[in-house]
This record gives sequence, C-alpha cells and structure tokens, in this order.
Amino acid sequence: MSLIVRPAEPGDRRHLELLLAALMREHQRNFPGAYPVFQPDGAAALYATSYAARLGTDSRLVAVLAVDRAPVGCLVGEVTTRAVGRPATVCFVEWFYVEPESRGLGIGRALIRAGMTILRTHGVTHLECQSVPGDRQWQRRGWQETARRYVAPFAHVARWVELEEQNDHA
Amino acid sequence: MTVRPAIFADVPGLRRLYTALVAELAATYAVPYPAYGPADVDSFTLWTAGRLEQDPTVLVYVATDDVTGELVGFLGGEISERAMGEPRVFGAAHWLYIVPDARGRGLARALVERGCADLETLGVGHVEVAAVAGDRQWETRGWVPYLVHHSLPLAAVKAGAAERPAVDRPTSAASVAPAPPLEAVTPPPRKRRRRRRPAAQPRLVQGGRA
Repeated sequence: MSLIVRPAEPGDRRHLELLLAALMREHQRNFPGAYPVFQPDGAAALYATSYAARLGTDSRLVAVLAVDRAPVGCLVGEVTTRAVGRPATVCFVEWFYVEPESRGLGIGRALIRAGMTILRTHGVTHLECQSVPGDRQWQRRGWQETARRYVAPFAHVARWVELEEQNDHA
Repeated sequence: MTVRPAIFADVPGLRRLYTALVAELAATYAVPYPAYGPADVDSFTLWTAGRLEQDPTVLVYVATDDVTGELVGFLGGEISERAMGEPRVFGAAHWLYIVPDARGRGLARALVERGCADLETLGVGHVEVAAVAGDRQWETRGWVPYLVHHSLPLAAVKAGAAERPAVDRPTSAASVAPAPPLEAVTPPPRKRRRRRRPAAQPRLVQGGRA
C-alpha cells in the first residue's frame, strides 16, 4: 500500500468531508470553548460540498489530499486578496489535518510541499493561518503572530460603554 | 460634537482619518504584517466610496466638530455572515479612531453606542474585532480573544517542509496498526550466534512487524 499526495478532485467530496469532520471533532475535544461553535458533521458536509463544486474550476482554491487506501490527511487553502495592506495576495490556510494514526510520518510536510507547488503559479509570497489562543504550535514552528481577533456579546459591549461613562462621571 | 452615520461626502475626511490611524499604529506598534503604504490609503478610499450609502451591510459612523464641521473620529465595520458556525451573523468592527486632540471626551463610546443601536435593530448579537499583535486593549476591556492570526513567508514554509524527508515511499500498514496485547506477542526465536559472551536475554517486542 502506498501513500499518495495529490490535488483534490471534485470526486473527493466524501474524503474531504470525513477529514474535516475528524479535524473539527478533534479540535473541539482539545479546545472545548472555541468560538465560533461548529456542529462538525454538518459543517464538514457543507464545506466539502462547496469545495467539490469549485475544485477543477476555481484555481484560487488549493486543496491537497494524502490517501493511503483511505484518506489520511488534507490541506485546504484559499488564495485571497485583501483590500488594504501588503502583501495583498496571500494564501490563507483554512484546514490542515493528518489523522492521529498517521502522524509522525512526514505526511503534513508532504501536503505542504504539494500545496506550495500549486501556489507557485499564483505568485503568493506569504501563507497565513489562524489558531485558537491556547494553540501554540504555529509559534513553535516559527510563524509570527500578526493579529488577534476578539469577540464580545452585544450586551457586553453596550454594558462596557455604560460602565466607562459612569467612571467618567464618578 | 456630533455622531452620525457617514455619507458619501465624508469620504475625503475618512481618508484623512484613516491615514492618521495607520500612521499612529505604525508609530505605536511594530506592525510588520501586513504592511500599509500610500496605495492602501487609495484602496481604503475606494472601499468607502464604493460602499457607503450603497451597501446596507457597511456601517460607518463619524464624529464631527460642531464648530468647524471637520471629522474628528470614525468607526467603520460591516455586518458579516460566516458560512458555518454560530453565531452565523456578527458585527465586524474594522476601524475605530479619534484624532488625539479630541480624545477623552467620550467620542469613541458615542460612536460605539451609535453602532450598537443599529446592530441591535438588525438583531446582531455579537461583535468581533481584530487587533494587531501586542495590542491588548480589548482584553483589558473584557473582550475574549478567540483566534490568533499567524503568517510566514513562503520561503520559510518551504524550508520547514523540506528540512526532513517526507513520506515518499510506500508505507507499511503494520507500522500504523495498533499494537497487539503483550500476551499475544511471541518472543523472537533465539538466533544461533557464535559468541564468546552469553547472548542477551530475549525481550518482548511490542508492535508486531517492524
């Protein structure tokens, strides 16, 4: 049995769905308080379906699969262009996953290399990704933190404004 | 001071405020990524000119000086909808800026209050903001960090991916198969070797085939 790393095709919808669902379940186990909240199976099915519809026709979607009899890993990214700021065109890595049983074999690196082969045609110079605050793996690998995203319930924002006003008048 | 929704005629003033915001950010924080230049001010101007009063999901508010009529602050963002995940619809705040001379008068809060009023009307329950690395002001105000954004030049990604050999040969199914229980493992047969020293005791080997 051989490991094959190759670009994903429209017929890989089910493979992508299984891997994304496994990724989301593992992520929710490791980071139960993560925001926003996903329902793994439903979210994976929706993402996989939308990717399958674009594979082969939309070159800005970069999707690579590692298959060893069954799918064992995937990398999915989008080449995006921001309205302001340089570099304007980057690849944002949406999903990157290798099944636990297949880790430590270099499959992740093989996926990245395959993805980079595709990215060369886009002139992309930087990769971007996001992680939950407690996940330090990207910093350990030399990635640089560039921004943090914060959330507050609407009621909290309204209360915060009121509290600061009270402090001003105190 | 007056706080009101921005209109198309505010675009030049918004451009001036955005330029000041970017300059102040650059002077306050080491913002290496993404970098902002003069071309980005034009991009911002086009963004506002193209969407103000046209796109109902864009929410931009300005604070004006009642005497001079000049813009002294603004809050800009939009109502976003994610493909999956809850909350599906949220307010994404992009920019909040008050010129230094107008600070300490509650203008930022007035802008936020105005934005909140519109979000409440639209049924939006959460607000999200992004802050540059090192800017912890939102945490001090009780906002919860939920995502950390990272970047890496492609050349560094390439170096990291190539530093060790990847799996490019057939892999054995046995190498990833779960190990059998110890009881089921048969110790390897002793090999007949001509040694002067006594042979080492056989050890139980876990994992089946190598």
